Amino acid sequence: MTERQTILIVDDEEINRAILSITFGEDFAILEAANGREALDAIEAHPGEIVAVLLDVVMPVMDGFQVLEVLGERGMLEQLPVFLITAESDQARLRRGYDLGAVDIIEKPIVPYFIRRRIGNVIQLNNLVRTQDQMLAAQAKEILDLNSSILETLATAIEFRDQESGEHVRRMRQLTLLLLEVLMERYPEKYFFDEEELRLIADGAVMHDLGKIAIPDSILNKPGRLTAEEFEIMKTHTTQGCVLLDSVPRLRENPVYGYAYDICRHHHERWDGRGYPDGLKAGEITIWAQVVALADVYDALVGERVYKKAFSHEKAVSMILNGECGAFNPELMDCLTYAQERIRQEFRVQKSERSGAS
Amino acid sequence: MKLEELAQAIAMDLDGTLARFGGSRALLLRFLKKFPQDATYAALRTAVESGSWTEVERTAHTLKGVAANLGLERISSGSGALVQAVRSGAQEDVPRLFTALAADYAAAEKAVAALEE
Repeated sequence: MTERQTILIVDDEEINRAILSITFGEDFAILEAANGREALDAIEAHPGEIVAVLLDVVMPVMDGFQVLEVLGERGMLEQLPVFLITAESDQARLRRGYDLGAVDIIEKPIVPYFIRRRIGNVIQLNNLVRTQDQMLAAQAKEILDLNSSILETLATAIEFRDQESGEHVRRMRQLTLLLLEVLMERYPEKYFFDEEELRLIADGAVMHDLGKIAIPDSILNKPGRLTAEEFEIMKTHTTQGCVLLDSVPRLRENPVYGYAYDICRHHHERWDGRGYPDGLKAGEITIWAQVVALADVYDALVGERVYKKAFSHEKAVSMILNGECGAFNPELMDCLTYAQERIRQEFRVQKSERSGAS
Repeated sequence: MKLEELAQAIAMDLDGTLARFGGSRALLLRFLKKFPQDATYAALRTAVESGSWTEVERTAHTLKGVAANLGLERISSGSGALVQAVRSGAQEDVPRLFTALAADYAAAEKAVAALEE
């Protein structure tokens, strides 16, 4: 333990506070309060610092039971163990202390050895639980990060076949997240994505072109225009992506499956219903599939392809807004207009990173 | 008077009490000397004289705790008896119980005043 933990001692009698201070002062930092009101103030002034409250019951201004009631209402007793230290011997009153959420009740006169043990045990146990909670959270995050990076690796391997670097995959994640954020900003009453959903959609965005693995090189990397027949084959990368997802054992049980499936299948649908493979229109297309479609079009425009040079950010935005590259949800067009500077900035940084790295 | 003599005179568990002060005789002495200045006893006497029973209960309860921590066991149990009397509705016992407590209090006060190390 790097820092001493803090115990709050609450008693209106100085002698009682002094005795508890002496008992715990060697191992803990001590805060003192002379009544319930002061105790609540101290708890508020030191959030997360106090590991135990030693609380007298009978006090002026605000008594110990009232303090317990307030802490209980605020839902703080889970985190903050409160011990009643009292001369009380009436069982009904002692019970009331436990019922209000006291961890333990210790009788006056205190016996230092025992009170140190009883309170120390609870603090140690809480420390252990806290450490384990933090470890669990860190491990959960590690697993999620690993998941995401495995998905990115897979997607990058597939993109690699059509001359794409891993950057398209990373930019798809970032652009998708940025557009979702802007959607929430612009239409807060209509769109809300929590942290988990954002992560799942971003992972889905990364996988949008998985199905390209099933498209022959001759079509995928053809420098000229595709024939009608070739284009029909190219279009199947959407449904082939879904086939691939379905072939991954137990992926269906993962919450990312629904988003990934939908995004693979529908990132070439159009707002006007003239997209593929299902010809969905407007609100029939989920908002995340729409967002990924827009991000994909933008990134294709500003990047170089076998069949075209890179367009500038300004040119790409104006082409999309003019309807030269498909039909999109007016709300998304509004978001693009609104956030174009942010997109340009974020993208420029990456371009310079790219030239710096190569 | 030394602490040992005081302990004998007023039936204090000296070892148990010293333990509450980290074994420091000086600290125990300092707080014993402070005890007669504590306002709780005076407040209790006033409450008894004016018949304010909830105040008797409250102050006696506080005195019970402080006295117990200081090892003044007679004062502690005498105060506890007052709390009990009020709670059980036996208010008529209060003056008698308080007289007994006052005697213990005076004895402790006298012993503490004679205390020196």
